[in-house]
Amino acid sequence: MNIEVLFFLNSLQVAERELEEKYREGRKSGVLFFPYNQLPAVRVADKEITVSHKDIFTEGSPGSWTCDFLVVDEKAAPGWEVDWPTRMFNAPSDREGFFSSSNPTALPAESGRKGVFVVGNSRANSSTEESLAEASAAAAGVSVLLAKPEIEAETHATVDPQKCALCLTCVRVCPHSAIDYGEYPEHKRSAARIFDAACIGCGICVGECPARAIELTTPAPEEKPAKTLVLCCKRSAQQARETLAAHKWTVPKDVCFVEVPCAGRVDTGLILKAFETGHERVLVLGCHEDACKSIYGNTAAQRRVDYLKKNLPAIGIAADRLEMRRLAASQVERLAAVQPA
Amino acid sequence: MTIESNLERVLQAGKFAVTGELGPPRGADVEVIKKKAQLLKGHVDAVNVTDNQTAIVRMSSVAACALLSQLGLDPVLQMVCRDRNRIALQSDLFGAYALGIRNVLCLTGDHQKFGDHPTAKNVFDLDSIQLIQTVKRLRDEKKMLGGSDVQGEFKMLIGAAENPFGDPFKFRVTRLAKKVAAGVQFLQTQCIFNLPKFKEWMKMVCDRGLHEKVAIFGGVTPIKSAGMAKYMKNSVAGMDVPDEIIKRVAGVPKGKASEEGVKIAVETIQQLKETPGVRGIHMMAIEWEEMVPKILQQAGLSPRP
Amino acid sequence: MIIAEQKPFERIVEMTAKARNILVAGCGTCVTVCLAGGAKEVAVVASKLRLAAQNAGRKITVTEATIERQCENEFVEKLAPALKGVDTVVSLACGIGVQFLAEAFQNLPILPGVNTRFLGAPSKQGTWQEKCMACGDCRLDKTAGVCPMARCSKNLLNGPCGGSANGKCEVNPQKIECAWQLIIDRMEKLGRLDELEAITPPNDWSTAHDGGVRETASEQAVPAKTEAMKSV
Repeated sequence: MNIEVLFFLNSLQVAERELEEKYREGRKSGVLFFPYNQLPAVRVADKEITVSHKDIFTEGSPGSWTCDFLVVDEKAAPGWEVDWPTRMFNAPSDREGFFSSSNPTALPAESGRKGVFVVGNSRANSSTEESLAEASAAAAGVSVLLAKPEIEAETHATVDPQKCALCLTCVRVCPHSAIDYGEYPEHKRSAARIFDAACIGCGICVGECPARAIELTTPAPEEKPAKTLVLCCKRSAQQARETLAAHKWTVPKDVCFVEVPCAGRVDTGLILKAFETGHERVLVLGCHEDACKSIYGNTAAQRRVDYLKKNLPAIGIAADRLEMRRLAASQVERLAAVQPA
Repeated sequence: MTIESNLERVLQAGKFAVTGELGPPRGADVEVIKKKAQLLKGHVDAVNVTDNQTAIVRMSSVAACALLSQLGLDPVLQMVCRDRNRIALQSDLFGAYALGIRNVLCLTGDHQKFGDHPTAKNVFDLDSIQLIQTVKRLRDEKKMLGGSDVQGEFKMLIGAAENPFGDPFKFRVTRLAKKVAAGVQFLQTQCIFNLPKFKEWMKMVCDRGLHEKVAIFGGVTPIKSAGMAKYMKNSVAGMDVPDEIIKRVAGVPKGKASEEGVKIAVETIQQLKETPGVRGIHMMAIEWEEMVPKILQQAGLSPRP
Repeated sequence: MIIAEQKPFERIVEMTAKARNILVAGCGTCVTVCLAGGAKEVAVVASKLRLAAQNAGRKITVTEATIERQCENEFVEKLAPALKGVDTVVSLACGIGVQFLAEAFQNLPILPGVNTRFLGAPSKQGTWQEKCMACGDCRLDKTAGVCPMARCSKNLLNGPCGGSANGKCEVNPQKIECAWQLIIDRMEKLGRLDELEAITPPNDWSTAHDGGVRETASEQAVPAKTEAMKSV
């Protein structure tokens, strides 16, 4: 019997063992694989099933196939287990509705908030074995925290209560649930407050604060005059840079690399200042999507870069003088590819 | 009280009423009005003249009504609250009476966003219900809104519109009750394509006994093409065009769509005639006035008594 | 709160075409909270002005200052030292702040850097919606806490027009909720739906802007000492 098999899928990541082999086998025996960005449209009329699909490579008008059978993947939806972390963090952290399932930068049971661990079905659609493994990881995490008689919290960011307008922007945007608001007795007024124990110093709030009331404690690294300024997230680009440096990398001339705690620290004001100080080109290097330690610091940076790119021409600056790129700490070749303007 | 409006005479006689509609020209061309008037004359009891409908600038409704009156038709002056405050509304009502206009239809008016002057400032000093109250007060109490006396005669048959397909559905009847309490005498509905829903609304109207206090005319619009039906369904807010209607018009051979549209309109009229509480129909043949006599003849409503 | 949004930068450039020494003045209250004119946006606009001038080959100086509120004279006066040598002020405050600066600094052009949009509040972070139009005669008691004046596109007082569909307003079904749908839903929850049967009479607009430019005074307010001394 001659059977034609078409396979539509979002991305071809074969994470589990033996899957890669199965995929190759499938291709050899004539199975067609189509990756998509947009879910294919399915129409069922008079027992005829039609699937329309827009190819991500050709981006042309959609192709369509009629088929006898349509097999749809099961979808795991979160249950009551996500309620508690959702309430605590004020939002589920991933698109599936689960609490932090796919972020590779988080340890198996870690949540956005330091000291809070999320395991099992609230975290992802987990098997019992996986849940148990996560639970042990959480226990290990807790024992590390409790190993010292006192937890020393480092101050990464401070609020100037005189400047704070109590707009609550930082409270709403902090991915680590490290900010609330309350009384500053010494100033006799309310303002945003940062929990040092929860703050990891990503600086997203600093970039977003409309009153410029929040500052990071780490001094901004010095920028040297250079044609190109590269702002490197310390968790990806900066690490790649250190790896390259260890291999006697010749830093391209006229390029100045500066470390930032997270791409989310990079705001429009900072980028404009860079142009003002004479940099001809600004490059923001952040982590891949779903791989940001601060969950959406990279997308926050992307938003600001996109906004500015639209607005730069009005200032007489070509939009291509600003760019954001994504890389992982291991993708040193992407950093090495950075050349002066 | 003497009866001066033909529509009022038909209603008093307990006859099934038929009203038509005429959109004035987008300019001062009187011939357009004369032509449309000729198409409708003898087939309807009265003719609504739209008031800058969908906020597109057209010849003044008062002026067009006066022209119709001269041509021997009974005009229904549509008045929207979008463009005039209470001062201008009352002033125009007096002017209309002076020119022989005896029916008024009180409307809130479409938002100017949909028209050809979207940057205009709107007024909405009154709403349709308050306008009904105002006309009644001018007529029955001879008092203006501000309290001054009305000098001389003033008389109007008061009408309003209602959309049985708007949301929230249940409140639509409450809104009609408010219009009745304000003094409305006849009421024209939005175009009816979804008859079951209309009947459901009508039943709620009858349950409250409102049909005895106001003469309800079902709105009928003949569909010219499947494209028009789809447009009304998707782009006109508060319009309920069921898919079966679109399918029916789209399903006939090319060139027969308008014929099917006429057929649907005739069937709708037959059903409306049998719906308890309905006392007339309002034909809105949007820029298709030439089809009105044919539809009404087929529905057994033309010529008029 | 007063909600504002920044003017297109092209407009700010146009307005400041002749300026040589500009102060960008922010306001620490409403416009800070709605992310349009606080210290951060002041820095952004100032940077943009400098870069735009530089790229156009013009030499200008741009300085920055943000005060608590541009709508109080005591705060406005604090701007005076920052105005030394300044020939143009771009205010990122609402229209009230711009006028206060214009009154305080008669010889300086004070230009608006934002458009004052409405009285509102955030519906979500970064998005604001109109909630009040300052009609001067609050009737929220009668409409279950939802304002038909500000939130109905036709400010209807007797129920929804025919353009209410699926809870949305026909003027912009993607963005605007039908205020009357909200009122009816809430009145129903409160068991007060029958109250909406009563006809609301024509509105008295004299308390709104239609009654002329408004002023209101508190009878119990003690005059400031500058005034009080005069009456002793």
